[in-house]
Amino acid sequence: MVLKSVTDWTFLYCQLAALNLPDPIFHASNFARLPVRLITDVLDNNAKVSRMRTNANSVATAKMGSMVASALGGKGVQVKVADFLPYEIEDNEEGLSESTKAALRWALKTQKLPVIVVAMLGSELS
Amino acid sequence: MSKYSSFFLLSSPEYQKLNGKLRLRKYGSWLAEEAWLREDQSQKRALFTLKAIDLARKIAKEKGIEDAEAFEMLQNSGMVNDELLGSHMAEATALMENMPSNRSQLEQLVTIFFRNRGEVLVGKKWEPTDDWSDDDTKMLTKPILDQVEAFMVAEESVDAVDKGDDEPDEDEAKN
Repeated sequence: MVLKSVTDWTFLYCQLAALNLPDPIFHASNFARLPVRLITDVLDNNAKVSRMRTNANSVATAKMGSMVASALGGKGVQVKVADFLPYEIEDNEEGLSESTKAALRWALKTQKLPVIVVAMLGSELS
Repeated sequence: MSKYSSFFLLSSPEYQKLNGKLRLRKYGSWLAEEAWLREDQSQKRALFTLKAIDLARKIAKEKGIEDAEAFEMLQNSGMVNDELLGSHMAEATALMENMPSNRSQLEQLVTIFFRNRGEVLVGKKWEPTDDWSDDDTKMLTKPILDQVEAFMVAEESVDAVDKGDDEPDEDEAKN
């Protein structure tokens, strides 16, 4: 009777090796002594960068797609370029994070910001 | 690890002091080797349980009793006579002898933690304990073992480590 391992270490290693990271700590001989958190962070961040890169490379196609959709659908149809990108854009990729918004709202409330800045930020905070 | 690893992973390593002579390096995570040893241990325990259940079912079928009753009988196999377990006595004894003990599994983990992260104070210099053996682990006192166990838990829980609940080691800057 053989039980399957919970973590597929071979797959994790292959994923890491495929990145061809130049630092010697990522060499095969060091894999066993890498912190698991570092491995998962590296892979997660790489996946994120890959998604952003793929999105960036698809912007032209997405723009064309949105134009065609607008043209075919008429004025009533509202499409965004982001709808035609391969990966959804994460909230924090566009605009401000929730904590920044909260800080800015506080600054607005307490009148810490000049009027012109308030006018520029209005749409971001609404 | 390569000679550059320390610079890349943590520019100023933190340690958990166990006593005046021993310390363990913090990484804020278990290392791959430590994690897969633990998974291997869990697998062994799970496999043992499955085998025990399998044997209990066989015994239950033969004796016409409930599975749970047979399982309990197996757990107490050291105290029951051959008649109760019947022809499965030898199998049950062999199974129980191979039961993974919590103590030995903890010792294995402690050994690997010392090999990967341990340092011992030799004179005025901290030297790595990368040749730490099971025998060395057996020499550790219970308070130190308890500290290592708590360290293992803290290393698993990122929040606990990030809070920095341990005071920084005075000797860190020197080495």
